[in-house]
Amino acid sequence: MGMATPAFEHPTADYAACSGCALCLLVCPIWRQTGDVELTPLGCSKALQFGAAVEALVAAAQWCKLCGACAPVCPEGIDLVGLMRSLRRQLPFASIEPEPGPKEPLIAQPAVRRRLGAGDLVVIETRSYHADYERRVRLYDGIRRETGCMLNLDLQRIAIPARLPPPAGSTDACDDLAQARWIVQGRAIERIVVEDPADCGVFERLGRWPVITLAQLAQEGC
Amino acid sequence: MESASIGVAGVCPVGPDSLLGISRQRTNPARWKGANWRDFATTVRERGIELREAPTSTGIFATDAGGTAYGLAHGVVTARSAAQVARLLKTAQAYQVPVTVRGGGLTTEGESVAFGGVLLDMTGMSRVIAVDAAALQVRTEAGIFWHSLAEELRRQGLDYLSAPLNLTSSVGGTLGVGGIDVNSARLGCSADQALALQVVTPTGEIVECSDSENPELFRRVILGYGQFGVITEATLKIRLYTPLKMHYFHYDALRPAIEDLQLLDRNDASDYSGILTIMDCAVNLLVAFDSAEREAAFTADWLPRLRGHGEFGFALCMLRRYALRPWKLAEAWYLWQRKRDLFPQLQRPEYMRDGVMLDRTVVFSRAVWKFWGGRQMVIPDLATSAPKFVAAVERGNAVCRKYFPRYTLYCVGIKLRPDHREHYEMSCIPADAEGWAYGCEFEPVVGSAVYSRDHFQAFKNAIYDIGVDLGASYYRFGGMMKGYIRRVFGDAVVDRQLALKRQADPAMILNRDVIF
Repeated sequence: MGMATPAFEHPTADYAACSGCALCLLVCPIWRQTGDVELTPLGCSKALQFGAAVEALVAAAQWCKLCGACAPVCPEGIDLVGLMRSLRRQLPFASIEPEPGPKEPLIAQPAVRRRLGAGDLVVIETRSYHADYERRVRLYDGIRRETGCMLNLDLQRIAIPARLPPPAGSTDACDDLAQARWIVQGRAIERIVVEDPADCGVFERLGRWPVITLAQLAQEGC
Repeated sequence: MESASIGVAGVCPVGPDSLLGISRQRTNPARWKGANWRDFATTVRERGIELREAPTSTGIFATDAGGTAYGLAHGVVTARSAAQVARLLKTAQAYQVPVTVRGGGLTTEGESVAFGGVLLDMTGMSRVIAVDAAALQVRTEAGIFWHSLAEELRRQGLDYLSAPLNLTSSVGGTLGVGGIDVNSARLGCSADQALALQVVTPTGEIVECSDSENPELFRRVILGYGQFGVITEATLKIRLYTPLKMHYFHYDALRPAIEDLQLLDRNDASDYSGILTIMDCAVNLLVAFDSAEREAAFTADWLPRLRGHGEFGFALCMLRRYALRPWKLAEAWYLWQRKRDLFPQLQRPEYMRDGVMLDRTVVFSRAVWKFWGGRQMVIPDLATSAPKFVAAVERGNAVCRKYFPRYTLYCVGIKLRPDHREHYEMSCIPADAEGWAYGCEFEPVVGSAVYSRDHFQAFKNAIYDIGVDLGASYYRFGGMMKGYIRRVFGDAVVDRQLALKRQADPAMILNRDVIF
């Protein structure tokens, strides 16, 4: 018997409910970079509704960063992250699914918050934030009111990712610098404070502001 | 030849014995059969345009927000530049291949659905080109969503003037049909705020137009329902950003609420105004202000004249109403539930600061999709002159009652620009409107209920018939309801526009199933 191609499973998330409102498109960093609806959860949902084979959605699964921005904005409550995850699981190569960050972010500690000021841009780690959106949107909103700091949130209060790793199994690259420039555009920044240490590099490459991690900020006063 | 049948609609093959007394014609277009497609596709690719023909690519755009019209393009092109769009249209003219342009796809009658031919997805042109904060102007690619434009402008403390309360309306699509916001009674529709456009004509010329440069083209394209060109760039007026202070007044009947809305609009008493109903006995007049000064002036001069109640007063009203009508307790329960679920969404703390609303479009658009959205959205509307508006809403309300147990009305005024009267011919602005036009959307709350397509269509026809009867217009017209265009505007106007269309678009390729 020859090597059988593993059968693609139909994703279970309820894409059938997608009304095409495109609110998820607005927050999708891949759409922002590529302008290609086919590479987005919206494109996947509509294509599946139309009866597309899962094999036809490989590119979207490759490009998706699983940042989770799409899920909180979906008015139908569709598990868009689950949809993209289930597509990625079926890719014919190892897909990288980084674990979300800690349940309680460092910034929740009063001592850390006291060291933030109006000139600080706090770059939220997107995956954890969106996975716990209803609670964290209020937490960070409170922090902004308390400290006057800026956040990498858009007008829908969705976090804009600072980095877009290359598509899984591909050498195509997103433009991280463009992403970072969009985050800082028009803001009166004195210092950039990142939750995810991996975000330091891209902001350092902008070369305009000191960049530290939240963990370093926490240690400053110790 | 396909194009020979344009403008001459065939007899509707469905239900010829229904809607007696109303002449019927086929409005849901047949799919273009694909003559010359392979040669066209080859040429398009040779000219450096990416054309996607896979079912996945075309299937994404099989329907619009209305979800009742379905059609498939032969291929999809994502717009990347005016030059690329021009090459596409030139080729389409040569091969007589229809091109349907799509922005946010928020049409409800299939206007942005391609029934064969090319679907041109404009969202690929979403860059903000230049912001002039001193002159309060922005130049942007026209495929951009208003919300994406707002994201850029807000970083500079700026905002657009008015745009649909929907995050995913595109600038180009909106300028082609109107664009109504809760500040339109003061600032006019979005289409009236365009200062200049870059347009690709149906024959593939790239032309800049404005009130002073190629004004004839500007007049046609603004509120032109995509018939006279593809808007690729737009220069728009903008303003300084201000959060807004919102007030809600509750009424137990439509007429006093509408009269109060018009009173406020006539007297420039508020910066924002509109009506949103939960039921026709639970009507909310929303009034909002950009500044404390304007709010104080309203409170002193106009608040005492309004007949609406505050929350407590309205609760007493409803108590009295349902105490006298205990058999309507289910209705009372629905009202209470709707209020309990909806109002907190309009005041989510992350979008509010010290009692002011930071992002009205985010708040309202999310609520609209959450509470009224769905895979099928049936939203017929009427647009009338101010004096006819109460009658239009009351008659439309009676139709809603007949067809659906729960529905919502959304009413808003549009200030007109006398110098743009020529733009308004055969548009959502009724010919007899002076000063302001008024629009009302009638939207059934479908929820999990299942209705037949015929039921929806009969409902829509009943609303549209009111428009014909009153000599009104429609905010959304075209697509599947285009049969009403000739009835409401008359042969002379439609034929004049059709002649202009034939002149501008000899092969009748651009958005051919929308109006004619």
